[in-house]
Amino acid sequence: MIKVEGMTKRYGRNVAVDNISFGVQKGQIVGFLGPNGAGKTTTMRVLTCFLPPTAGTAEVAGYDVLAAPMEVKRRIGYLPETPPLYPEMEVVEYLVFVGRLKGIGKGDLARRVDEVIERTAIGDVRTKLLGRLSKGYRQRVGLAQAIIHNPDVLILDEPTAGLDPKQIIETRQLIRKLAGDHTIILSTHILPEVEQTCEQVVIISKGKLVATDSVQNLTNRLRGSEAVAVTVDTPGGEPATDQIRQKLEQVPGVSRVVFKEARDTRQSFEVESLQGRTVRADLARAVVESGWNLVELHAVAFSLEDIFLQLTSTDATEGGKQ
Amino acid sequence: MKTDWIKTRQTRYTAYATVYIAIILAVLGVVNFLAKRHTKSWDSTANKRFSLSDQTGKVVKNLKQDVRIRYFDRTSEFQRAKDLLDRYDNLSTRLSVEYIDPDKKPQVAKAENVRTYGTIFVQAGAKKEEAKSLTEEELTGALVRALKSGERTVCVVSGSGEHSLDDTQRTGYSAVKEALEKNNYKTRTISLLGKSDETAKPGTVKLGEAPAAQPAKVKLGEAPAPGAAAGIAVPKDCTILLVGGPRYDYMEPAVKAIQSFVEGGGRALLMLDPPLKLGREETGDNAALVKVLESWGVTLNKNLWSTPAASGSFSD
Amino acid sequence: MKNIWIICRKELKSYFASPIAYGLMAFFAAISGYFFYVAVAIFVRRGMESQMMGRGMPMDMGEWIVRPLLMNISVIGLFLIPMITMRLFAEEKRTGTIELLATSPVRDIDIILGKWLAAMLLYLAILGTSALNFSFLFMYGKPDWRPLLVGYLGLILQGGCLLAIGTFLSTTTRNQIIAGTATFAVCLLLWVLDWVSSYETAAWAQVLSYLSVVTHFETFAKGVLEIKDIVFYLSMIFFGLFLTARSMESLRWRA
Repeated sequence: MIKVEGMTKRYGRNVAVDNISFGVQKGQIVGFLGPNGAGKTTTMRVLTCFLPPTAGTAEVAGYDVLAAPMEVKRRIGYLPETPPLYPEMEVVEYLVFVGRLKGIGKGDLARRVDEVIERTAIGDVRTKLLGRLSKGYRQRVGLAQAIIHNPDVLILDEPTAGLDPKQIIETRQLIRKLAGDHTIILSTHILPEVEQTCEQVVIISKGKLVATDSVQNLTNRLRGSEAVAVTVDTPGGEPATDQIRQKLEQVPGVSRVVFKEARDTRQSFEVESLQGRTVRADLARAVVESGWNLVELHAVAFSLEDIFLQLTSTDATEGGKQ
Repeated sequence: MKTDWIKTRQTRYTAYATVYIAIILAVLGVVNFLAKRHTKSWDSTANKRFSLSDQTGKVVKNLKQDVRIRYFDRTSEFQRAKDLLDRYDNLSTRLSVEYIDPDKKPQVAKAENVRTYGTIFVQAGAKKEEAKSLTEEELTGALVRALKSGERTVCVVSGSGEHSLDDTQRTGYSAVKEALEKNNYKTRTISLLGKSDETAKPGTVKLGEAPAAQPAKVKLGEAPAPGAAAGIAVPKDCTILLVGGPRYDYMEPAVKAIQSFVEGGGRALLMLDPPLKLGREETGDNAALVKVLESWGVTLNKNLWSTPAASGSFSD
Repeated sequence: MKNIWIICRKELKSYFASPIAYGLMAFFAAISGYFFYVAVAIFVRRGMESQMMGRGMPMDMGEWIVRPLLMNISVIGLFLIPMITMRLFAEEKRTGTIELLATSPVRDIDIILGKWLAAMLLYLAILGTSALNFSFLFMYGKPDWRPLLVGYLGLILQGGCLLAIGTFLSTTTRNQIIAGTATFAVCLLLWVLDWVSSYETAAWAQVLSYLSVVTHFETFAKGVLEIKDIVFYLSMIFFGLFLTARSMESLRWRA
């Protein structure tokens, strides 16, 4: 349904999106994950034909964004980061306007507006001016205008930003319900959201593609390695932090040692192992054999957050592994 | 990396956009230029205040040489002149109008001998004519005069008590002579009397001595008038005939001469005082002349026109 | 095609939903009414004066009232038009609604024409308030109606031209005030060009003077319809909207 190949978007010297490629199947929900400024919004703007790509191609519903933008625009519903509302219009008036704009015929218009108002639960504020709505309602109206013409593809930029927890849950439920009929791509920097709503994840950082996989695979792949928390007692500052670290690093199977904190006379480290290696036993032995006091040793569970941070902070060289 | 920049879509787009704008600008420029040249206008005012007459149009459109109209006046008065002069300007590319403020460009004004504000000169080639006032008649008149080649002579008839060109008294026409000469007209006094009643005056032509070509002057198609047989006719080189208030009646030959002249295409200005018997000077009825005038459709009314000094006015 | 109308309607509703439209109409009606009053007063006084002096000449209402009034109204347009066009695109850029328009299946040109048309209709409505003044002339006299109509045609064309320029300038910034000021400056420039160069004869002066809207409007005010003036205004309208289209395009490339 969506196919992006080698897409780059440059503003003068500044490269916002650098050579990314990914694909979304029909009916899937894909999460677009990345820190702020990673290029998520830019990519979405290219997909919606708002911006033309500097290089590469993007295809939505079989139509190229540069060659056939009108066709693309007919088939997408877009909710930008700030919902595009006209403050002086009323809710219904606005939805009617958008409906007309998207090409809904006069006969269907009233019905569709009612349908969409019900689905997004904004019936209470039908006659209110958009300028006076609360953030939650605004977001919902934004969602309503995105789905009013029943587009094949929905592109949602941070759809739950600024909502209270109850509204967030409702919105996520709504999005999940929409999947299947629609292909959805949503961007966010809230990880649990991706875990809960999306099947696929595309991780992007500093304009570059970092990883794309199903949520399941990603966590599995990275859980193949282990994380161990080690705390060593260092009375009188002996041994030094570096000493301990070096020692731990030398343990076979260790990929990384991160110094966590020093409390009283204790130093805590987090040790990550390479894929498929268990290092707990060896770590314990290394500490004891050095003559230090091992205070604590336990496994640490990996959350997607860790994965995310790991992936985005190490300027990952792996890209697009499936 | 640097060469990539040149090849990118962005640069291509910028180049395309710039060229596009430049082309459109050029096209619009040409369209407007053509429109200005070949503009047509429709004056919707009831009395066509802002249109020039057909005659003016004909004269200007048929211009074979460049004509320049120069308007000398204070800048604040330019607006007033523009209404009229611009219309001339628009009729032909050969006609150009200049607005010159003598205060701002004294040398130009001096070179053209401009004495007063509101002077208008029409210049065609070497000939320069002045239009007396800012009206279409004056301007077109000056234009026509400037375009005409050849000399123009005003022949003033004398011998029957007309006002004389050389008379510098109040009732004399010496001022008329001056004005005419200022406007590039030559003046001459002629006599339409027979040889016998003529007293030789310097500068007058005696018809008896006229060259043999004289009779041929009488116009085409008509039998020569009796006067012509006796050799009385308006000389060939007269552009305009001026009859200035004769006190004695014109004889038949003279009247016939005037008639032939006018009906042959000559221009005549006939100024006739009403035949009042006011005592000191009597003015004759001049019946023969009046009859010819009537045959042209001109009736002389013997009416009075007086302007009292009090407010209000009446005329008839 | 109907997209143009959809956008136009929305824009008109926007104008009339806020005090802008009513404010402008009131302001304009007041000022043109005042000018009308002054013109008639002068007319009457001159008429009486010349009668008293014994020169009871007939005075043409067209020359004394209609023409100067039309010229004054066209000047008021200079102030009016920036206020109409400043929000057309600037506001959409500021609130982000431009994204909605740009990602919907409507062509750029539809958006531009829709907005310009709305501005024109508002301008026509405002102009209409001045018609009231002229109707008084008809009630009490018999002025020549044809030059009046021609004069209004001139006002409409001139309005279209300046509105097109204003629309273009509105796409260049998010700030309404900047857009409005720039539009006012350009309109003023087009106005003043005439003063500077109308009486010079050099080629550059002729070109500059031809660019001025005053040069062309004067003919309409007199009641004369000239092809070259109509062509001028239409080309300017076209050019203004053309630039707007280029500007919208470049927005996408620069965003």
